[in-house]
Amino acid sequence: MDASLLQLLEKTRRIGTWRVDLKENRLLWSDVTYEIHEEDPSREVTLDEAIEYYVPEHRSIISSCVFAAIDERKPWNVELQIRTTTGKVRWVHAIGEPFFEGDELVGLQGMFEDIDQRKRLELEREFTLQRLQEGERIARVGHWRLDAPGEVFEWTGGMFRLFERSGDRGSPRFDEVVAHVHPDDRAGFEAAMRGTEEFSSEFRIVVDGETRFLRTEGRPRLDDDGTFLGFAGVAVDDTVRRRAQRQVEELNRRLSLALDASAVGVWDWRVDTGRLVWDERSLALYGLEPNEFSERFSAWTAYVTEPDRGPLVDALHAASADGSSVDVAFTIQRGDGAVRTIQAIGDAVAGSDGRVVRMIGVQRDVTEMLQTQRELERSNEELAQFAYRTSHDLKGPLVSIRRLAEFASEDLREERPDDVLRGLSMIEERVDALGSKVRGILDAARADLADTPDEPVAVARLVDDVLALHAPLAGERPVELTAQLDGQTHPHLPRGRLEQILSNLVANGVRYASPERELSFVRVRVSCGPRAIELSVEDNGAGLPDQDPDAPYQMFRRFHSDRSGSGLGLFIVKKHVDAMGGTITHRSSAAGTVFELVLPLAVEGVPC
Amino acid sequence: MLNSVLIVDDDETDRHLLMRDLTRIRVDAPVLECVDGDEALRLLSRYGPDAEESPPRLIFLDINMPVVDGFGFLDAFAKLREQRGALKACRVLMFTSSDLPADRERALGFAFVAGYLVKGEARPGELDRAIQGALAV
Repeated sequence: MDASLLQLLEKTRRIGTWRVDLKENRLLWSDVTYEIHEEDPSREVTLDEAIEYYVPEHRSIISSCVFAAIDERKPWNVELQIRTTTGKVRWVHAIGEPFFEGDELVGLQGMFEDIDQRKRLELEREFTLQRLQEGERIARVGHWRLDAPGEVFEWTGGMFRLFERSGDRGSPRFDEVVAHVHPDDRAGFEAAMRGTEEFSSEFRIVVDGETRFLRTEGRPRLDDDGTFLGFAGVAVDDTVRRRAQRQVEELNRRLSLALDASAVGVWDWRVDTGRLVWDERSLALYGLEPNEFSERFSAWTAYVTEPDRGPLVDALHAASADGSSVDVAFTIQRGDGAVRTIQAIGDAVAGSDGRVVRMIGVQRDVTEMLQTQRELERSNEELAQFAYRTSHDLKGPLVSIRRLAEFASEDLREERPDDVLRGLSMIEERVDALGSKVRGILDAARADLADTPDEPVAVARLVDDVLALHAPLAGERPVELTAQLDGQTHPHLPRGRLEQILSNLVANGVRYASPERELSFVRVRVSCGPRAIELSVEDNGAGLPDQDPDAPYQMFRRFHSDRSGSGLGLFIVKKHVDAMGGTITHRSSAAGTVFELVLPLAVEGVPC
Repeated sequence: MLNSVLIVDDDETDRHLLMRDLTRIRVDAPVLECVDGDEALRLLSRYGPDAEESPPRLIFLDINMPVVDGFGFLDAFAKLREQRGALKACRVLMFTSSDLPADRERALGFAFVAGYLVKGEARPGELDRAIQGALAV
């Protein structure tokens, strides 16, 4: 090679040459080789020193390359790192070959290229690609390119991952991608990809039957003349965020529904400024429009009636002072005059300095709840009393039966057969009374059970059946039983309840018939309207004392010493009427008693 | 001496049982019977200043009765005693199946109620002691 040409080449690409003369045991370096090693060109470098320039981890590589080259008489070609005399580490491309005279190895020669910049760029690129892939994986991002008018995408690993497509299959054709796009989004996807404008849209794709949201951005690639070459873009899997967003929206909607349904209002008291913010539900609790509330703390307490106002103000101030919670119930008078009971619950919120700056809480109208609670307590009390009264009323007859039996055996021993018979007959009576009491208690307990469904009831037949049931006893007295029905319908009613009501009322009429009447009667009238049935049972019997109108419906309440009775009949009737949401009233005088009932129908009556 | 006894109870069997117990402990005074408080009050109001006989010294009183119950009777009788001096000598022994402490306390709150016996639980000996106690006052 021409020496000057070689020098030119050396300068352009920083390629140095070297030669080892084994006969003279000398190493010769070109200028550029000295430059690459940053070595003084006047200094002669030995062969051993030349090896020492390689970084320690690469020395064995170059040695084995050289020995292999000599053995096999072929050149070597490796990229290795050297450390220059100034301590710089740089990449070099080392090429060399042994040369022989006959079979004798006489020297080595080769060239040295400084490839440090290229090698570093290469390594950096590799590292950048790795980071890109890692970033794509973590961020669930993919990059893509599409040439115009392109039929095949160019995808990075991230895109393959988003579509769960194996890299072995290569980048997909345009129509393959379209097939993955959700049918509703296909038109938009194709329009964006076939256009030339920058876009940023969300497309749904379906992968393995699962829908994913891909936020996709495409930027036009233009050449120097501004000619559109295609798109380069990025796609981000937005599914997780969309799901989270949907969940937050759902939670908010549910919270709002829950607050609406439970009519719970929110309040927020800025302790430092005294401002009190209410949401529309809080305002509704007080019967206020948004512009009717001044947002002052004092405006709240103004609605609170005495004696609750003072304790409420004290409780709120105490909680705000020591950072505790508050749970108070108080009575208010609303703007429209209605008196309600409100429960307010709240927590103190401390600022960064630990001082309480506000209290946030909820409030709700508990008027009905308290009322229900009181009713429940009353009902429990009634239940406890019922249990006591029933056990006590069952015990009574049992005690006397036992004593009668004792006396009977005593009479038997002392040979008083008449007294024995009398005692036995009394025992029989008591047993009958006990039986009827047990039946009454069972009926009363059943009246409390709610699982009696509405069904179409043939009222005429039911009335006939009830009257037939009481006909034998009525015949003895005698008492005339009659019934009159208006509006022939099959109303929807709990049949069992209606039967019990009617039967108890008719039984009372027969039992308490007055012996002084020439003709005793019990008259049943039923009038079936579309929304309610009206029932009246009238007798001309002994009548009820003129006292508390609720008294006859109380448990074990009896008014006649001369007739037997469990004292449960009207109690049972009242339970059934209450369960049906109806009403019962009575009028009574020396002429007799009329019970009047209204029983509402859940379903309008069906004409026969 | 025990002139006569009044039993106020709507339950015929219970009246019968009490009378047999009285016979057993040799209380042989005549027994008057009333079926409720109202009937008893009407009977007792007849013992005015001109009455030939004195009212029964001992009244057995049930609580759970129709029309006027035991407490209704006690309230009305407390007033009647103020009008009819002859009734001041009457003593009431409760004879009831109620073992409610509230009932016992309420009944014994009347000065003229001398005892509280629970039906079926009071044995003849206890009945005897209660009668002696009532008459000793």
